[in-house]
Amino acid sequence: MSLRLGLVSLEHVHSRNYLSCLRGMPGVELAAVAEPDGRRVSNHADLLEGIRLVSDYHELLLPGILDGVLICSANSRHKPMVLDFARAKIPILCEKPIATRCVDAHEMLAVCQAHEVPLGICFPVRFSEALRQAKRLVEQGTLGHIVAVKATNRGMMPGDWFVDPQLSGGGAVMDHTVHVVDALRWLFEAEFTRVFAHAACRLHPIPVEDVALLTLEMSNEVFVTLDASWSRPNNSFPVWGDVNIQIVGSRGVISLDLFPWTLDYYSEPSAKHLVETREGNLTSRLLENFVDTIQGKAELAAAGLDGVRALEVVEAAYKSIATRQAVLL
Amino acid sequence: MAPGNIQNDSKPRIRLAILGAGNMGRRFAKAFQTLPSVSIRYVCSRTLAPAERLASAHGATSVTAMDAIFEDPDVDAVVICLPTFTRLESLRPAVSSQKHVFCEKPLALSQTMADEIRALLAGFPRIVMVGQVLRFFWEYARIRERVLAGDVGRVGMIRLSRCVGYPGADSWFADPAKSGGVILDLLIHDLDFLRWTFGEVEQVYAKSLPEGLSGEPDYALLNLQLESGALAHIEGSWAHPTGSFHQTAEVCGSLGVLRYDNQTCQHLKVISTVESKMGSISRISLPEADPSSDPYVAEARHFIECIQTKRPPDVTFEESLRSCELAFRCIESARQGIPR
Repeated sequence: MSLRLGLVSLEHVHSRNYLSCLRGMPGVELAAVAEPDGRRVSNHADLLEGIRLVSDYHELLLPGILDGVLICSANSRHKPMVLDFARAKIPILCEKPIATRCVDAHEMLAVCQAHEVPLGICFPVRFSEALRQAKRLVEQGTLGHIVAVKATNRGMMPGDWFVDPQLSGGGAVMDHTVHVVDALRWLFEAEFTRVFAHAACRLHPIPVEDVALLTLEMSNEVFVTLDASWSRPNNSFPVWGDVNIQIVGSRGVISLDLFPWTLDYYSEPSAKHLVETREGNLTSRLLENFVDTIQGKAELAAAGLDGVRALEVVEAAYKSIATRQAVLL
Repeated sequence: MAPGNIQNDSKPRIRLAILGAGNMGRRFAKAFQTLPSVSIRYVCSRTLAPAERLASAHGATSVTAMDAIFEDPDVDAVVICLPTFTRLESLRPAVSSQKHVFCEKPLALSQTMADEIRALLAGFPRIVMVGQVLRFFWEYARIRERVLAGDVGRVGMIRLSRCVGYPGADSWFADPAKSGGVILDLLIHDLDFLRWTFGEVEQVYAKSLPEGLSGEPDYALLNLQLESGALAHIEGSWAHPTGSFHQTAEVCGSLGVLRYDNQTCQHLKVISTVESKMGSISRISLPEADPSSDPYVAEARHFIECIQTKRPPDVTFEESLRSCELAFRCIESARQGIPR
């Protein structure tokens, strides 16, 4: 019998990717999708054909419907949804960031633990084969003594609820800090100890920051800068954005590009230079890990606590932006 | 200015002395030599052999002490290409002997030295120009023109990067007390370009190698906010072991993004298993320039024209000192672990 997974909310831009991966996954049945907003449903009508659709996710809490749930709502709605599914004892994979405040994230962790429900966080970067190889090379001493990391996780300005601080909890810092932070915690098996950040709203008429630059220190004495800006032009840039991580050591440098520009297409019909990147099936591997965890065949690659650790850096970054000082974790 | 010879175009011939026969001394000798109204009279170096080599290539006299140069009334200008920590040793006699001065960057090694240089040069009636060569790179000048024309709209994020091979642990560059380390010696270029194009810096938070690790190739990452509100990220590296020269710039604004990467727009790329002549002489990387627009020739030409037409140079010593002072702020931030 196949594993019945549910997708709760189509709010996050990643939901389309999850839909298409879940539909093609062997051993998995996309049992239901919950989304109250008809506009979002019709945007993804092509992928929702033949799937049970409910407008109120509470219907999916009843026993015997789902073996696991993927929560893909606006950031501030993660908490009530996670609490509900935890109490219903349904394993959860939650979109990042885990929540908009650490105090909420801790409560989510506690409730999941009390009900013995696995809580995974969507950090697909962990599944990058390039990142895994980089980790091996670093551990083998290929770079000598590691000094620093220069990273970017930049994107287009996503609009929608992402720019509504009530729903998102913040702008570019909230959206784009956690992926690289989680990847570096995993790569170095070290924690972040100090956070400094500059941020501003410069590029778009929105009420949240669209440029952000973090300088971080880790317990292994590596220093890191992370450009988390929504600085890729929305209309003219050929790809959505990037995740780049350059690791600098005393004996060498590793440059990781998780989405390398692979195929150029000078397109007459769109009058644009289009580019295809190679994604490396990160989302499929993330979902497979969740499925394997439910079936007792694996452990979650990134669990709730990893989500909290990443959010702590975000919270410290906002504190640093407000005080213009470095913040100790 | 000493009268000098009169040429056909009626511009006076400018007679130079090159102080220092290292990497930059050689480069500037070559750049000045391409200009028709220039003659190189002296090359000075502490050790005779490099001075002789460079002097003979340019028909100049080699000397191992600077006194003869400053005493010679037939020298109009000195080109200072000596290590940063010796600045005052050449600037003081240049001022007292009333020579025009072209000085390689960075102009000052410390705030104390900057204050002394400012006092020394205040009211000095000769041309003083500093080798902020990035201002003469076509690419950077073009970025600045587009930014000032409003082509990228409101600027939000500026990313500048400069990665070269390590000059070597045995080089004076490796001693921060002599060179200022990667932030002063290398990033003075980008800090000066940043100020020139985008204005002054409100706050900087800088990280670089702790000083306890000296002997390892220096590396720095700067996180800056400008008075305009825009943010800037600057990377400086002596930790890229290939020795290749890599400079990049990106400006993100409300109307678009400008990007420049010198490794994707080279006129000439050479891959060879034969070790290059430059490679065996020096491990310091320099940009390979299109000879018709060599930025070193352009800044040499500008200096000579300023002398000939008695107009102040586009890069004043005060401008350059302010860029040094921004570098000092970055170094302080990195040392103290606090924003400055």
